[in-house]
Amino acid sequence: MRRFLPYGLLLPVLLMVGLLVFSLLDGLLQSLGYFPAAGLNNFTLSYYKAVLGDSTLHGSLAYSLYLALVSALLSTLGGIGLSALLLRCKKPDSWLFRLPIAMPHAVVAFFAIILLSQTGLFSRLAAALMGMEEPGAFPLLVQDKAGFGVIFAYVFKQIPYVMSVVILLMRRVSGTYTEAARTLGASPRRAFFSVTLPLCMPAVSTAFIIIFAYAFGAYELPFLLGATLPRALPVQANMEFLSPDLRHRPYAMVYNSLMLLFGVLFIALYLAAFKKLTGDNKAVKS
Amino acid sequence: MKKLLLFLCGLCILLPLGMLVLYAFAGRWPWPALFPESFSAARLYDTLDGSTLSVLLRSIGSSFLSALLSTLVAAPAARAIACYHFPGKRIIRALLLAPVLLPSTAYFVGLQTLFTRLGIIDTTLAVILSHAIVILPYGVWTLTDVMNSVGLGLEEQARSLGASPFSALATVTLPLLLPALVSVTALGFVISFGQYFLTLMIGGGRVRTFAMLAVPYIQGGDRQLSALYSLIFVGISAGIYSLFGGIMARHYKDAAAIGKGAM
Repeated sequence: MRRFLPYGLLLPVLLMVGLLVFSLLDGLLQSLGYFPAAGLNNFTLSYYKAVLGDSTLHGSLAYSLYLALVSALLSTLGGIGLSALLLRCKKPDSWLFRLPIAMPHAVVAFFAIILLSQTGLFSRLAAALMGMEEPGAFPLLVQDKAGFGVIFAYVFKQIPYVMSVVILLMRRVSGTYTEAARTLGASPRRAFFSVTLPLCMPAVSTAFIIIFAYAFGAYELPFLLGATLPRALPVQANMEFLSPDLRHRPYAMVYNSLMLLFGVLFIALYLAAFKKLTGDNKAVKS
Repeated sequence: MKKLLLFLCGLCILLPLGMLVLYAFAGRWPWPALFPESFSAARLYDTLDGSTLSVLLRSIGSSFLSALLSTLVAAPAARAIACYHFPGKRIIRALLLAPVLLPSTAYFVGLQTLFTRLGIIDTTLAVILSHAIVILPYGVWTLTDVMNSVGLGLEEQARSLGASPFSALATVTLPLLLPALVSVTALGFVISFGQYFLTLMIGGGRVRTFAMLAVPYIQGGDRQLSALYSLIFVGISAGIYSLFGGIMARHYKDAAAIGKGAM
């Protein structure tokens, strides 16, 4: 009886997440051409061939990978930097720096608009300080091809998250190992880069993967702040999904399945990083 | 130098917040003026009518229900993961990563198919359930960390002194977990309250939440109303988060920071 207790406790979670995973199989079948509701009954790879050969997909995929990579890189770098700055402060987790965690993405998107757009604050400052004559002279930083606005919004929101993951570990490490390195004659810089940072790396890499996966697959920010050409992958996938022609659905599901494939890769990477994190944590504690 | 950098970082957060207030009450604010030329609250009164307020209240209620449901489901799961060894534990942990690491746009489509099959698509119930699924992993992770540090020792002592399983749980473990349960529910509320796209897909535009009202203004470029909605949005989210999110940090030494993995 006692043997089954954990499964009983887990049953509601398994039911909820299990239903989610199970329902994804539906989309997979549709992407393979099996969609009886639209009169499609034959399994085929032709939808995959069509989508994979389409330059729209290539552009969207490249744009989304780029947005995710730059956002995750800048967020982790910023989070590490701020954690290092706040390490010696009396109140390292000040509420102000954690505020963005509680801000909805749509609001952060609005921040990007009122700061970075051609009639935003920076454009007005450029007019006041450098005599810029019209809003159009200000570079396009929102809904632009370089994804400046999207990246700004993700970084704004994710730096505090990286800090929340890193700062506790960094504090524990600095009190012991970094101190030891300093006593043995390492410069502060050397101690940080050769001791503190490597010991925090596993936590940083799990955060990196989570941010990357989120920025790769989320809809709101690229929808509000992204370019129309190329469209970010989530926005393009949703457009395919919204097509009123049911016979177009398998194409949409190919987009979905490709995104899920990336998701499976993210999970595998995360599990590998997490294993390292728990292993190292034990080492730091003992 | 350090102080200056920290000051600049703080400014990065306070500056846009300050601009929200200015925009919300600005009358005319043409480019390139740095400050509004006039102030007006007329449109605010027009917008904040009874129907907006009722959407806001219902939205708060449904986000709270999502968070509560997620916490109630996550708590026993966290206990199982933290306190027992059993075959399949690693698979379950991997499964729990799905709502965090799978591209959300893709699995929202899966959820939509699921709720269509269950026949509850476009209902508030479906929206509450879907939000709970999205929140779930954060609850399980945080509560697993806390359960790990609380352990079963005290509860077993109570049992050996003659307490029934139920009263040992209710009088020993639950009070120890309460701060974490409150914090996790607050975090879940914040995540649910900010969801726009998921609500659109599952609610089909018929379930109106506060995010559904706010985003069209931001998308359409109406800065005054966007600012007003954003202010209310941030006020409620950040208010709940700072009131209840910090409870946990004060109660457990070295507990994982609440908001770990929060998006």
